[in-house]
Amino acid sequence: MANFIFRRILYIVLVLFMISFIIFMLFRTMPGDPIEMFLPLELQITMQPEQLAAARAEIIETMGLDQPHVIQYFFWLRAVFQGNFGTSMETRSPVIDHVRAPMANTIVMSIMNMTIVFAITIPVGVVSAIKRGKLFDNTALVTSMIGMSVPGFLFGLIMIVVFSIWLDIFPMFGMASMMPPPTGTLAWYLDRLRYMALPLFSLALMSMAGMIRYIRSSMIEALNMDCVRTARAKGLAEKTVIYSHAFRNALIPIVTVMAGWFIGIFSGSLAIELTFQWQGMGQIMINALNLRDIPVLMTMNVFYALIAYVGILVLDILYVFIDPRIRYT
Amino acid sequence: MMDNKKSTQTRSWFGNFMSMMFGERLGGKMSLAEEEQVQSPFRTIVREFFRRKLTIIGLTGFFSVLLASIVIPFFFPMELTDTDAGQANVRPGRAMMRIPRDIRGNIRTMDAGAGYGIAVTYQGDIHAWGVVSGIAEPLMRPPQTNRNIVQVSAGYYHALAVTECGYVYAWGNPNPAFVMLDVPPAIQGNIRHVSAGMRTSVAIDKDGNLHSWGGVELDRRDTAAVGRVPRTENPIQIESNIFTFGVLTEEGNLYVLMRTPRGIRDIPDEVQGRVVDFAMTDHNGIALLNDGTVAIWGDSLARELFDIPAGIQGRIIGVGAGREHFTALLTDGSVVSWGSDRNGRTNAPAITDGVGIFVAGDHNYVLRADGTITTWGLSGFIFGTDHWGRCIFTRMWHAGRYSLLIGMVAVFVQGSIGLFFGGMSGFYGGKLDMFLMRLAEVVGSLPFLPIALIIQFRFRHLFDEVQGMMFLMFVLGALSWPPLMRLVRAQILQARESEYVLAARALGVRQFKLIFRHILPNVISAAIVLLTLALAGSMLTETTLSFIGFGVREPVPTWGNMLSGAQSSVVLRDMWWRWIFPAVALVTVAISINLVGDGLREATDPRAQGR
Repeated sequence: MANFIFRRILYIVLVLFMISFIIFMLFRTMPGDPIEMFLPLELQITMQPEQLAAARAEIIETMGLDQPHVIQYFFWLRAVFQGNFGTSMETRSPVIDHVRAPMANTIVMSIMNMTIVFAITIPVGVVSAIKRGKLFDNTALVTSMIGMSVPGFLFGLIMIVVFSIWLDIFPMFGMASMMPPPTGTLAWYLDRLRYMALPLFSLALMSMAGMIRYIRSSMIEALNMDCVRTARAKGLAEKTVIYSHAFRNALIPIVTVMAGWFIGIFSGSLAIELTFQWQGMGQIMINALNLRDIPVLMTMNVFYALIAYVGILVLDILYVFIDPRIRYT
Repeated sequence: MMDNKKSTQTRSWFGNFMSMMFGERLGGKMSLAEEEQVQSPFRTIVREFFRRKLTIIGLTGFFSVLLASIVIPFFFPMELTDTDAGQANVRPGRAMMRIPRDIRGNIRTMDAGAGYGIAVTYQGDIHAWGVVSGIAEPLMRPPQTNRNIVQVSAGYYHALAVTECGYVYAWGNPNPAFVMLDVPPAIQGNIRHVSAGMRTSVAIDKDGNLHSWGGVELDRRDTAAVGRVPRTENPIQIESNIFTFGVLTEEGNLYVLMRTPRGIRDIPDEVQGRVVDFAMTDHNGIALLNDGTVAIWGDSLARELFDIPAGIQGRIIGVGAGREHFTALLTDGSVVSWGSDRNGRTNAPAITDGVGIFVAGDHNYVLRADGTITTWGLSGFIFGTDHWGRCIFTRMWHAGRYSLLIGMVAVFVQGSIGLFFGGMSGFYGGKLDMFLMRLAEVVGSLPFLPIALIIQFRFRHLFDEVQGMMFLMFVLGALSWPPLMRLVRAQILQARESEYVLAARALGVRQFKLIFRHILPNVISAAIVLLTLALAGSMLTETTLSFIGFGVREPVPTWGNMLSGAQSSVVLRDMWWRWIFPAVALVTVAISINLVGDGLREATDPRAQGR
């Protein structure tokens, strides 16, 4: 086991180097003046020509732009190992500070989303599998089919129309009330929740559809297993059969899907955040793309890759706990 | 299971076909033993596939949208760069020229505006009809009066009516920024002719003086330009276009007021003193001279406008102009239109009893001797228009074409890579398998959307629209092959160990034939199921990317970028037609494909029945 984890970590590190190198090259070979890419627009306009030349020289010097790209990559790497991810061009603050608040928002939202989705999909999927072919099952199947076919942002638009325009319960866009700002801690949290509700619902609806089908089919597979038949033959209560025999066997595929999700947590949902103008990682990413904020993009993408591979490693380890038959050498 | 009591009915091919199409099982379901004897696996799959109602619904839905997207664009061609700000955000409907039934034959005078018309009956009631966008909505509610209205003028956002005793009624968009509804009280009761323009109004009083009001702050100094007409002349007629007003005087001279683009200001000198009627498109003017001929001036790029139809010179008694076409009434009561023929605005009917023409926008009305009105031109947009005035109906089907094409090519790319890599990996195994599996793992675990965005961001400036679209297809395909590759690999590994392949090999079947005749058919059915579901996935991804603004770029329509207009509360609240139609099309197609994919999965995998 330890051997396996060690090898996996080595592999992840290798892949990360490769990916960060590719992404780095993608950005560095982008055509464009370093001044335009690394100096805020208002400074570019107000500066005198000689100041601009000096700034250019300074940027080229500090960023090492006169060096070959490969050397530049190692400069970047060195800075990253020193904890310096560069400076966001949008806010002129270190990337870490720039990303901190949206990341927290996204994580909070994702955790809530996961809670809601699992609280709903696991019972629905399991019941659906048990009552296969019945009305409940068919309803769940058709609903989830529709859910799978609607892109997330469209859920968002529909939510806005129904809950903000027709019913006028939730605010349309944004993060928090501005006029007047809420007073008191409780009011502050409630206000945040009100603004979070619609994006959260859309996100949950989007994730639920596929999940229900997944749980249902792996549950059906599990219910057909010999061990379940044996358990029934032993005269165990149906509840025990379902939840401690069948469900445990159905867990592996479910956990696999969960891991895919875990990876998605940090990237947020681009389209939904954009629809609701909600300040999460998706929004940061879009802003960074539109402003060509390359230090932020670079950091975010490498971070996503890191999360993805660590997620897979964690998953592999989790399998051992779920299914004692799995052993790594 | 093994009941063989039901005899297999022998049916004609037609019966077979019908039962296939409609899932009607005349002979009942075959038992397993029967099935094995008489049906090839392929036939079983087809049969199982068509047995389910939902699958049939999905298939019908998908093919109807596909067919519509292929056929409709042929009948409704689209110019990518074609925009028309005057028709922006028009709500759906084809009632732009639908004159209310009860006033037909009872029209004393009328005027045409962009998308609507107003008419006065002999009883003095004002009626309005048409389809206008939100802010011009009050136009449809003309003032109720039974005073004797002698003239009406339909502008873009407001309309005016003059009574016999010189009183002016104004109605329309009440926005206080444009004071176009505030007729100066000093001139009330003394007006004989009015004209409503974009945001300004010009009127002639009974002494032959010009007055103007309305306009935004910037335009207001232009309204002073009414002084451009010499005081010694007596104005008798005013016409407007989106930029300006033209004034015709009793002396036969033409004057253009206000700031205007160059073309329309350059009235040729030789027409001055001989003009009896005139009209203006956006950039061109037409003047009817006292000898029955017309002269045209203005923007020379609009070539069609200068092609006066043969044989009408000298026989013209009235002219009218829309935004890009002219219409003339001839001495024999017939009408002729020429200019750009978009929206059928130049398809003049063959009539011989016309007595007056009213032209605006893309609409033509001819008043006939019996008091009825005949119309031609744009009657509306069934699905409305977007913020550039483009027809949503047309764009939606063109978008369907692009969206479906992108989805299919992306799936093709994904399928090729997946099948090839999966096949190599499964068949050759060893080091190659190791490498390809690792590659699949790396690609497969990258977060899809951020990476697709980065790639689009980095490379798309290198391409024009069409190449960009092809690149997008490739990116979508190249990022989504790993699941297919794993599936194909697993299937091949399984098939390689199976008894029938062993048997085939023992019989000395060649490697090539072994792959294509024995292994591939087994792999392909599972792959097709996956690819069908991936088609829906690719289309949704394309839509999402285009919605964010990193997919297909604007003038090329796809359902995604049509929906990206809906990111504003105004559109969501007041312009439902701008997002409902593409959304419905998109969801219909996605649901259909998913239903078909589901049906395929159940049909190909006997273990998955009802799963």
